[in-house]
Amino acid sequence: MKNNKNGFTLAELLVAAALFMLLGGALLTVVSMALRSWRDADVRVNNQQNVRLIQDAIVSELRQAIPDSDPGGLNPPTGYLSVTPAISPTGVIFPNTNTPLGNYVEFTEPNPAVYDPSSVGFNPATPSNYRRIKYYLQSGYLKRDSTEYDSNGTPLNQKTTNIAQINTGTITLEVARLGTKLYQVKFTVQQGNQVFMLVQKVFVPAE
Amino acid sequence: MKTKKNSAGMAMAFTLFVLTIVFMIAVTMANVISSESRTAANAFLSSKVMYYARAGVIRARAELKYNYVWGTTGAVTQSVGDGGYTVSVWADPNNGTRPLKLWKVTSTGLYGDSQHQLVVWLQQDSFAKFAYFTNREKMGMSVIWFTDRDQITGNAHTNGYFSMYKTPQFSEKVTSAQETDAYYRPDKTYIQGGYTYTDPAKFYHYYNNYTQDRPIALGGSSSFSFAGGQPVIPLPTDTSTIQAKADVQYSGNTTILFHVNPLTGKGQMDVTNGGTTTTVDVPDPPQGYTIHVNGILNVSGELKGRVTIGSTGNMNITDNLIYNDDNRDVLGLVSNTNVIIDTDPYTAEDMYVDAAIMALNTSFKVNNYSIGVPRGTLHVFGGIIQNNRGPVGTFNGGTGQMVTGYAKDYQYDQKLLNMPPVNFPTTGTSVIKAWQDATSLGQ
Repeated sequence: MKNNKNGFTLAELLVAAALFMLLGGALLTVVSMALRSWRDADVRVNNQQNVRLIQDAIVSELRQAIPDSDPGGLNPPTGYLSVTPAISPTGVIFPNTNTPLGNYVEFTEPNPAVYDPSSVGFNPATPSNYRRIKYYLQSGYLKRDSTEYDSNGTPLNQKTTNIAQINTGTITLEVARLGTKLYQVKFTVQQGNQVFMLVQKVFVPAE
Repeated sequence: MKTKKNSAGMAMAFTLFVLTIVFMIAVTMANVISSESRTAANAFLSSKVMYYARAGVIRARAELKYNYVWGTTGAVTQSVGDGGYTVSVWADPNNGTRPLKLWKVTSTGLYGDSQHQLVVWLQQDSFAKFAYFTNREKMGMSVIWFTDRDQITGNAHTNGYFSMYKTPQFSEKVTSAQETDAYYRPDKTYIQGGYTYTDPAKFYHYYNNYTQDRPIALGGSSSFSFAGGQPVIPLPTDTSTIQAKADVQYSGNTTILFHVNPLTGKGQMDVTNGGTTTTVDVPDPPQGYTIHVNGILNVSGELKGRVTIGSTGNMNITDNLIYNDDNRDVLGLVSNTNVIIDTDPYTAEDMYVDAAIMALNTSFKVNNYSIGVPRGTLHVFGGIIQNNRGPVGTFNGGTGQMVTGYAKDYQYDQKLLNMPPVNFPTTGTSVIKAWQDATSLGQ
């Protein structure tokens, strides 16, 4: 009798096993959900961090833009003709007054390998002193096109670089011209039902 | 007792279960918080050092306004709060003779172990960048209105305020400082027609309303903008700076006739002073040639060269005054008083003036503008900078036809932006020609 009292009946074992299976199942479900949530959060955080980084990349380079790199129009242009729709030679950043909102940004900046106003005979209107930069999204990548020019304004050394990849969800880029030298760069990332937006204003200091 | 033992076992299992869930949630949240904090800290840090670097650029720009060699002999380090910046300046060795001085400013923001470097090219700012500049938009006590007859190609500024009737057209940046504008309040608001406006694009006087009367972009120019309430840009008080740097000076009333020697092809000028006329080649040093006249100047002809003339008295433009080569030749006319188109009011003939014109006291105007016959069109290729806007003609308000004086055709000479006349007055500030960020992908 004593032995019987200290042991377990088959029914007790079955019930206990069933209970443990239920509890274990529930626990596994919760753990699995928590892990999924963790992974999602991790991906989301990484995505947000990536978007911040690529936005910083655009913003810091857009600050280098020269709104009017060919003020006199005395020489061939520095790439503004590649902007659609065509704009005046004195407005070389896209978006512009004609199209104040775009899904890419394009501008002219000094070519650091060449640009040196202190050099003898430097002409600020010579196209080879500059290069044309374009940032845009394509197939989940942020891409950067760089086009250099010879002294006559003929494009040369065109290069496309993948700057970053967005791993999940969809991403859109909106660039708005808010004023003559003030722009806004906005990224929207959608993952499932969640939407993340990052907005940054940029003042272009050069004249 | 049996029941109690069984309950305790369940409680333990349940507690462990709950604790596991809580633990998992806590770990997930800790991960999110940690990543977010790291991201925020990085963003904060990079912004902070970037702004420290910008503070260095702003400091250099302010110092170079008064001291052209500031920061050129060694780096200047400044602590700001818990960080700071180091800034050094390279001044172009040719700044002594350049039309506009040039500097390269290298500023490094510092915070802890982080750094951010900016390289900025600064260039002295010249009044020659203006196609149109006035201290006051008035003629005597009368306000002068911009109308849809007016087209300005190039930058425009007034230290006073603009009055717009219909839709005058501008191709570039238009600014005003609002001095003496009764509608403008110290809190940078604008009260007109019973409404208060805060948008600087509204800081001008309209005739009817903002819809009918507004500046618009000439030819859809994307460089056009309008902003009132901007800093005052003071005009120089006199021509003493030009006088101090002049290559040649004449005392008393003087007449200069520019022309090109058909035999040598060289630019020459006939200078009449003190009853004597001498003909000399227009000196053509790389930086340009500066003349100062202590008296009244009469000037006309065809210029081959790069010349600036200052005068203490009126400057009378007695006949066409044109460039031999629009792409090369530059003329600056700076009068301490007026610059006057001095032609016969009864002779109908277009007039051409190629020059950056500056009338410190008081105007660029036409002599006897209100008498005689319609003289034709006054073509100015350059810029007009004056204390008060001056009259050049009268027209019939009903028909729009000229009655006396000239109709206007003013075109800004774009080369003045980068190649102003030598010793032409500067605004006292510098402009950023290029901004290079060491952290950008473009470096």
